[in-house]
Amino acid sequence: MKTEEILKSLKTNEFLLNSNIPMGYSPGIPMLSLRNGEPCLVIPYLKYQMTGEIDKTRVFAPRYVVTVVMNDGKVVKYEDLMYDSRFEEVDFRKPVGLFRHSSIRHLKKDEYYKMRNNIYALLDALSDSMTGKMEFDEMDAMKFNKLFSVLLEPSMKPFYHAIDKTFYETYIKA
Amino acid sequence: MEDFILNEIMDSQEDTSMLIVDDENVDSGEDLVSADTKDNCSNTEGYNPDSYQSQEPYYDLFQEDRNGDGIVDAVHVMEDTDGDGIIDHMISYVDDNFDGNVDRTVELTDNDRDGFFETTNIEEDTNGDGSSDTWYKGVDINGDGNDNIIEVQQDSNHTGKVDTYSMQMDTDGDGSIDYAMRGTDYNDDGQFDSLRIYEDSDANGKIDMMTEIYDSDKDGVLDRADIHHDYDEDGRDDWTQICQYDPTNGTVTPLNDPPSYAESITGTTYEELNQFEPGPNYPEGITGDPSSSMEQWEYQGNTGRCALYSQKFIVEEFTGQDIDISEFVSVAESNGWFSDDFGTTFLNTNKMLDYYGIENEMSFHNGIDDIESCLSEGGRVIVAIDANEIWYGEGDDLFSPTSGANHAVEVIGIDYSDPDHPMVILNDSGSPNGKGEMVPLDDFMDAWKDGECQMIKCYPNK
Repeated sequence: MKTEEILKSLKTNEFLLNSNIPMGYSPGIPMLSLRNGEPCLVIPYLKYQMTGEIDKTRVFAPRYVVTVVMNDGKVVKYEDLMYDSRFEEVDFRKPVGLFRHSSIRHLKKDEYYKMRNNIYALLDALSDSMTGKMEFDEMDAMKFNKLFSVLLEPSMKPFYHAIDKTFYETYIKA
Repeated sequence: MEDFILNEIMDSQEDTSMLIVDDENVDSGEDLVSADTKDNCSNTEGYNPDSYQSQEPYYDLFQEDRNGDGIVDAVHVMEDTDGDGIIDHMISYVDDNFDGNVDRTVELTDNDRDGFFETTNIEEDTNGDGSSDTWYKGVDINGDGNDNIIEVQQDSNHTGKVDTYSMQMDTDGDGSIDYAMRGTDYNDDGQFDSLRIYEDSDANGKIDMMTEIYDSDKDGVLDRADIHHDYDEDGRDDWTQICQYDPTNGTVTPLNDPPSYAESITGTTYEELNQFEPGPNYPEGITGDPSSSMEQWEYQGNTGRCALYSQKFIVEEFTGQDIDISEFVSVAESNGWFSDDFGTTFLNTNKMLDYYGIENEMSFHNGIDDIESCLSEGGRVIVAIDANEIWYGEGDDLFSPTSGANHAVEVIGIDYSDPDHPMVILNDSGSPNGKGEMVPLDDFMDAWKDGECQMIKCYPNK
């Protein structure tokens, strides 16, 4: 399944509907990880709260992480970070940043969505490369890194690092 | 400010006390009795100022024996002070409890000599101890017969000092009080210990803001102001702004941040959304019974209780019960269906309906026809939407990076009366203007699709 397809399917995924994710939480930009030989999307769930003012949309810390097998969209792992000792100091009720942050403030809605969809497409390509279906070359990696590091909220970076250190250091930090 | 007000009170008290000192006929109960023996009792009812034609300053005096015991218990004096032929001043001394003492003095004044009394002063001895303890002053500014400004001073503990002052104002002359204040001096030291100011900030005839100024540390100085906001005007606080109060100049400094929704009111589009206007009959093209459903609407204020309010509206409508939201929340919390910190999960948005025995069914991937069908059958509908699209109308620079349902609302009708502009009618607890909120169908569909067109169909009883 494609990344975009998986994200859409999660809105009505029975497992997640039966979980304790409240309305208002939605998937952030996914990371990718190889688990037992299977590429899996690692998806932080976070909340954005619009205020009606441009660039003053509040960004809340990711509270949940859902791991989904890319091949069939099955949810294989679900974490509530409130009960993870690494996030004990985080107040999930308070915003940690604002959208749009400075490096994307020039992007219009369509431009932002286009860049985000490019990331989804590169995640698909990276997934395929993990199973040997296609190559993910250095140019792809550079492009992926640039898109990810620009689009990801600065306030999200510590959380992404904590959630999947390998992915973060390979594709975001570089 | 409190000094200023108290000084005004004392000045006013002195003025009104002079009213009875000048008339030797009414300064004691004995005089009232002797007056009664000299003059026939008369009644002022039916007195017509227009029939009075004198061209010289004039006064007349009427006496009443209202309980027929042979003792005068009310004296009325009418005056034409400028001799223009129109009575411009009336004063009545009344012994309400028939103990021989004046308990109430009522004075009416036609200040501008237009034939109508604009000013009313009442001085009253409410406990019959011989001392006045309540002073009322009313001013009818626009001549409609109602006092637009009312001041009341009271010596509530009968110590001889005014300890309570209240004022009400109808500033726009619409017949509704839109500003009121009450000051209380608990220890009779001449300083207010508590001030309460009530305001109708949106001039719709309902008080929606109350400021309470008080002495928080009991050092004799007013230092704190709590501003209570009742955004949905249901008589209950939605949010309280706590402020430091400077008694020297009356300025307030906020100590807490307003809630997000209060900040977001500025610059949002939901204020521009129209509300359904109930009429005696629905025009052709209305599905549902929005007028009836609108009666249940309440504003959720700074809470994440949208799913609970949506269910509450329907439970109240189907059962006829008036449900206290705090009890509703308590049940939902104790069952793990809701948390005030994080709200409600999708699959818990119907749990309170189950609890109250409301038949319901949740499903995804519905169409507007499904909503219409349910409403036509007398059912009710809750949907999950992306409220950002309704409240803020996303644009090139104002948008959310994610799409998904973040808010539950009740759909109470669909309006096809203008076929070119069909509207969906919502009971939206998340917006101060959410009662019968009219949303263009296309906008509603965009917002609904973000939640995969989830809906809960509800029917009266299982």
